[in-house]
Amino acid sequence: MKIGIYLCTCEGEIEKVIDIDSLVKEASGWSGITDVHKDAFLCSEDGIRKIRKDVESSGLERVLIAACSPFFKMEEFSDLGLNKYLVERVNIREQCSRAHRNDPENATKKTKAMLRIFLEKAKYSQPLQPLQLPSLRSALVIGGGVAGINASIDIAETGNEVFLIEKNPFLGGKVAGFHKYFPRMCPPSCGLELMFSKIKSNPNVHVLTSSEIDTISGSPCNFEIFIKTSPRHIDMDKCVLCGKCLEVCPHNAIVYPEGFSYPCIPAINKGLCAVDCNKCVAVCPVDAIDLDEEGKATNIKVGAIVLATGWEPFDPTPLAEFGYGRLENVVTNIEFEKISKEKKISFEEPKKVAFIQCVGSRDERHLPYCSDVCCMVSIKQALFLKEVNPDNEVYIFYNDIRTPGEYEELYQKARRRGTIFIKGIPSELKQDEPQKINFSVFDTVAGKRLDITTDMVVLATGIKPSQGTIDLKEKIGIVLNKNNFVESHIQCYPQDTQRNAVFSAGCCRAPMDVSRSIESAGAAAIKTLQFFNNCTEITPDNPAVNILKCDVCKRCIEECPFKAYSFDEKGFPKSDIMKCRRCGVCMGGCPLAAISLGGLSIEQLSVMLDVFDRSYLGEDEPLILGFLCKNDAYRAVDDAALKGITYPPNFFGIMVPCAGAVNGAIIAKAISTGIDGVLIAGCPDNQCHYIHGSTLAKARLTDISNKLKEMYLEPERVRFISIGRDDPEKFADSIEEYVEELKKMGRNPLRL
Amino acid sequence: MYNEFFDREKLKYCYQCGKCSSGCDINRIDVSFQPHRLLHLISIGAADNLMEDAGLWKCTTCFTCSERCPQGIKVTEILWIARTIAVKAGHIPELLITQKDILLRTGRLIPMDNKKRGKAGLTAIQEESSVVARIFEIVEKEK
Amino acid sequence: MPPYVVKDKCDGCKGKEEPLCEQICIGDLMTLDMNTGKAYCRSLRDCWDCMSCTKICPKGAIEQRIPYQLGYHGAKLIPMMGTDSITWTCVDINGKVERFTYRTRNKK
Repeated sequence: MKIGIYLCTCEGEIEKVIDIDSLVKEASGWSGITDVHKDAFLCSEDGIRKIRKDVESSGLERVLIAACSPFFKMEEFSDLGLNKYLVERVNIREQCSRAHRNDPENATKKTKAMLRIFLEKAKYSQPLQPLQLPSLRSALVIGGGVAGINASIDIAETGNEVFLIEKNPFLGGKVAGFHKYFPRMCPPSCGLELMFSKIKSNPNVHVLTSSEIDTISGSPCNFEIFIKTSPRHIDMDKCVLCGKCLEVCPHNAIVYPEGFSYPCIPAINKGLCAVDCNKCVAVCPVDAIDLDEEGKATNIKVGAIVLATGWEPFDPTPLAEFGYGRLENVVTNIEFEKISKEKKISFEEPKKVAFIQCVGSRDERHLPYCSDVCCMVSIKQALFLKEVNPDNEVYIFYNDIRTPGEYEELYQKARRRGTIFIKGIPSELKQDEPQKINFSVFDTVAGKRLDITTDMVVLATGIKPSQGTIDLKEKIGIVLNKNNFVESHIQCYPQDTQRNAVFSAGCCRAPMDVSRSIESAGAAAIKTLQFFNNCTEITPDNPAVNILKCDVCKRCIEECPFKAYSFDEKGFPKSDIMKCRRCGVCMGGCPLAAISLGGLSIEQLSVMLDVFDRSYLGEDEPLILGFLCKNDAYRAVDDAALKGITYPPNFFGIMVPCAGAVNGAIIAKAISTGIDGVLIAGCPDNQCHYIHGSTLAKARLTDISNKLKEMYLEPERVRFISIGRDDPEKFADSIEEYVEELKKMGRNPLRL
Repeated sequence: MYNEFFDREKLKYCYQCGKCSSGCDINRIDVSFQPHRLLHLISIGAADNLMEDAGLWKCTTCFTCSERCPQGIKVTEILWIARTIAVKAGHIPELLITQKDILLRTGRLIPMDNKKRGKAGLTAIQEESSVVARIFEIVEKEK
Repeated sequence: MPPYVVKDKCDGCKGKEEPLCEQICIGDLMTLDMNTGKAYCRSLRDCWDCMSCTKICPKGAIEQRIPYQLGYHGAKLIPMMGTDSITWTCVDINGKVERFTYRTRNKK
């Protein structure tokens, strides 16, 4: 095999510590090496041109670039005239010359060992080709509330097809039922009408109301969705909205739209009808009603999915002390919206209304989180009461008033208009006089007890994830956190759902107000569009299962953080190329070492250990083999070099995609062939980019430690450390400590 | 013995909603007894004078506060333990000392008049003071 | 040398129907106890001591009991599988430890 090695001195910096010339001489003697060159500025245009010329003229099959860390100058080294998977980057700057700048002799020895290992790795590399998969540029948005509607508009207006599915007969979600929404106290008809007109005028949006999802199958770029639509019983083309059916229906079975609703056609809930009533059929002037209409089943194919399944209001009945359902005129904040909107109670004759905050929210027994909007909702409703008649008496009993940003202005306004805020929650509501509500509350600020009598009490209940969100856990397999909200795990990527091509928008992710829901929907739409644009070229470094070795123990299926594995036609596990995020946790967990990643196989790691010169530091120094995760640990080690932090040259680092990608058989081989210590460095637990890669690596290492103990070897020879992106000092200290401990333990007795 | 009940970590959960004081029947009569205030003082470590506070003994242990607390804090038990600590430091209301003496001496909290009982045709009630003293002995030993 | 499953370490191979020890046992003796979710050997007497189960267990939960002819109570035989080698640790009844590493002939 014709291999070329290029050593960069980085304008002479690397050469100050490492004896490059001697390395050039030695490497020239290794078998298979065609060219060994030293260059002062390899990443310059001249340098790259030189490499390209050599590749062409000498017919080089593999190239080793011994220079800076693989995370630098990626663009420059990306096109050298051969497949980029046949180019190996060897980090002799960060990991050798800079890290061991105080020990040039050993730094040179380590560099030689490094070159030898990566040379062997390169020999086993395969020329992988990126794949091209056709992608369906269509999305499914589940949920027709304010988040779902906006996500659909955003996706459609950039020229892509959208299917918007909603289980109710009308779009609009909870916001459609509100009286006003903050901060400008607009009626929802105004905003929603604008949104609906955009949907109506855009042929890319296909709205499916009264519809629910039956099953979802397939994979990103190619999902197949089966949908069940319930019958509306009213012909959408014929109905003229005369309202006669609503007048005659004796069973309240007709759901009538409001002026701004979409679709603006009533729907009949046949479940509430009586048999053989047919009054509506008789009275309809255009014969639009068909009570025998059957439901429909459809299926669609989409490339990506946006979840916008929203929320449900918390039911305060379990908090019996507040008398909801037992006492008259104790209502929830959602019910108050309806009361004020439909003018069921006239607040023009002055009334006394008390609001009680945090009913059910911030409560360990019910919703342990803060529902974000209830303080603003109560202030909005208080301002409404004061506007209708300033003589309305309004009390708000609170724990903490949370009105972030410019909402503070509305809080001040409520106070100035005469709303009385009392810090103290009443313990019990009673009815001592007819049509009144009596309670006694301790004002914690005044230190006094107050006895209050009001006409109405509004319980500020919070936001709970909807049943739709919970159902999707089974249907799509998304991950919900302990409060049943959609969990992304990655702080910088809130729309993520731990499943490729599935994004979350609005309250299904966390309690939020209308503006934030709309922003969140916009973000989800952008992510969907990015997915459509990028998914055509797929990196070929996905894992492959060697079916000759696989025993179908199903550990890979269980442990994959993205549930990308399923069974193929032969009954062996196979990773879906679109669902997979190339973390390698499967490779690390396979008990038979049957899985290999495209760019890093078990065989490669094995031969690397075969040629690793275990006495590169001499016979007395212990050796530590390290596996560094590419997201945090490897970067931190590079950072250490940049900051001038040095650590002993006994440490030898290899980059892996995730700490969870290290297979026990490789560690066993390392120990059994005389390496004194094995270190796995991964992200701190709750920051692992692959959900539980770090946690699994820790657990597996514990098993290996136990095995070492049984073998009468020291269990501390293998260890896991959490290295965050900004922990280079911690890393260097750990290595110093580790080397000391290994010296005390003595050499590995398996060393030959 | 009571450390199993006393969850020191739980005290940190209190966010001073005041529901315990709102529902407390004693607070209704005597506004100076405020369970939420006592919890706050204990949790910030400023409860040095708590042992001498007569209010500590006003709790009737009705458990309304513990029932209604949104953070599940066992307010009643915390006051219980505060009482125990106060007693160990020698702060105990006169009335309770008197009751303890009566209990030790006669075996009951309310002394019995056997003559009156005899007149009414009832059998005399034995003095159980030795049994009560034995119980106190065992409890002392277990500490 | 009948195998002994350490209950704390065994995870029933994630609770699926055929754990690895059951799949590899050539005598069809290892199986999963559906009640406890842990593996066990169905017939200790019929075990031919191949130690395939011990080698393959991903949690290292299986130990071999050594009969008196080979080493008696207290002796241990522990395999550690590498990618292309096995390291055997042998402990006799006096506690003397010896280790041997052999290359295996499988493809890496």
